[in-house]
Amino acid sequence: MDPAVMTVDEISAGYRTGGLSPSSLVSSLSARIAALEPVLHAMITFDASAVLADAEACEAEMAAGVDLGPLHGVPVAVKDIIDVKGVPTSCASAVTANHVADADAEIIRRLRAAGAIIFGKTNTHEFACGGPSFDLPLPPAANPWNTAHHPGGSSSGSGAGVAAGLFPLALGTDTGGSVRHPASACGIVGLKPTYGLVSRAGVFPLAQSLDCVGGLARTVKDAGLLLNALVGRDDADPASIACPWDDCTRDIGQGGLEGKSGIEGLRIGFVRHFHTEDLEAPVETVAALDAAADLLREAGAIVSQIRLPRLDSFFAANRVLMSAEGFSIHASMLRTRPEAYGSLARRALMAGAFLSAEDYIAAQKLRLQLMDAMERAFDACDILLLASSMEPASRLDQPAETRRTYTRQARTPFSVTGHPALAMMAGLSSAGLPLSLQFAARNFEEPLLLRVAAAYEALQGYPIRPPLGREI
Amino acid sequence: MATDNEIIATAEAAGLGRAVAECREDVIAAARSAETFRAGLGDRSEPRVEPTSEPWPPMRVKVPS
Repeated sequence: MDPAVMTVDEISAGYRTGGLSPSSLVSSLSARIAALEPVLHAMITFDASAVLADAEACEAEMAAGVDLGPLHGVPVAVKDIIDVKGVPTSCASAVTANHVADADAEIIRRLRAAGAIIFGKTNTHEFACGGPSFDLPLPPAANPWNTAHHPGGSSSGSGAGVAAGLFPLALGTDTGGSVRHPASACGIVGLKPTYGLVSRAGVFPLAQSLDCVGGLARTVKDAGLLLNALVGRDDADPASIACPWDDCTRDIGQGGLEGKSGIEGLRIGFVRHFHTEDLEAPVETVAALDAAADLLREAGAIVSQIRLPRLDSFFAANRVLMSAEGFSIHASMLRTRPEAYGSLARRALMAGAFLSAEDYIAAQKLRLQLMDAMERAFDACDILLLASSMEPASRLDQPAETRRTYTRQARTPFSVTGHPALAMMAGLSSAGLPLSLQFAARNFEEPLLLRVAAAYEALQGYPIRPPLGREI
Repeated sequence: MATDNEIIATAEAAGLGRAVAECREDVIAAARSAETFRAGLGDRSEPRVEPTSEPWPPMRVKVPS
């Protein structure tokens, strides 16, 4: 089997049967990186000899009978705003290009404890905001479905790399949708967990009251297996909360007896007004969402339309919170070294200097109202179905179009309210680029969220492989 | 809408004098974004004072274990 498309379960099975070894997997993926990086730009730091040494260490553990679980020997790439001991955390910026982490972030510590191989650092918009930019130390990542197109952001390299088969799993961060955007643009799965479920200690912040660490993977189950390894209370993160479940993949396929989908009787609220009234999506996006609703209904779910506050209310709260909190983090660097930032990040981060305390408190109050509204919605349904991106990915050489489409999305509501949300493919556009949708759930109901998303994935026959690198 | 001169004065008061000197256009663009963001919050003429309007996340004291 091609290592570029293996799931975590397939990798683990390969290790158990002896058909695959960590070092052979890592060597194969390293060769793939060498071949595709000149056009993909998904990585910022990748040390082939270091990951091979880690793979050989895993091999030795396995030979000694040590089994650290489903991620043992599985490569996980890391967005380059997350600290990995001894490796630069550049944040894709000249401002912090020379910062070398002196300790692992808590999530890296957890991944190592789960046996994962930390597989390099991935490209990102500068400080997780403001891209794609062409005035940074490295060019922006490209989309493996068409390298002339944006792979989404800010976790650009994580999305592009998973989709291109450079690594099976990657970490991203999501403050207004930055895990789910690349997942949507690249036709993979992006999971933003409940706010606080995953520690941010050792992760360069963008806006602490919004920031979540999330995972990108080719399949829903893989995204869940990655999340299982990340969760857990951490005193070093003031927002951290204990996780109420042991395994968020436990319900995948449950109820899926022969001929059953596993979602019979579930109440799915279809938030159609986001993409038909609040923002008018193209016909093919509307059709893809309607087809998804029909498919889920045919599979036994009870699908009904549901209304949330208008999308612009969520954007209003998110923009003020992100700008104000982002400026508070970057203020000293913007005062002393503003020229070291790229223009887009500089503009985004300086906006907070022109907001008042009154604006910030007003945004927090609006957020409370939106959280209440979201909770009420979940009184009427178990899961929400809604659009992710209104359009497929824009071209990288059309910055005005990228800016226009960047906010034409429905991911931000769950960044504002903190609820878990998962973005995934919903077909291909007429131009051969991924269309996308989202599912969202009540806080801490990741197991149900993954159950529904996995049912949809199975019904659609996903994942689908992008054209780039199929011949390798 | 603030004038460019008012924006520059606000930026300098916020300690962004170097940014004004090095990248004045970005400073003005950031301020224009902030104006848009503020407008998006809408009408705030009716104060909300009930306890549930406490800004999120609320302040919490640590409980000794």
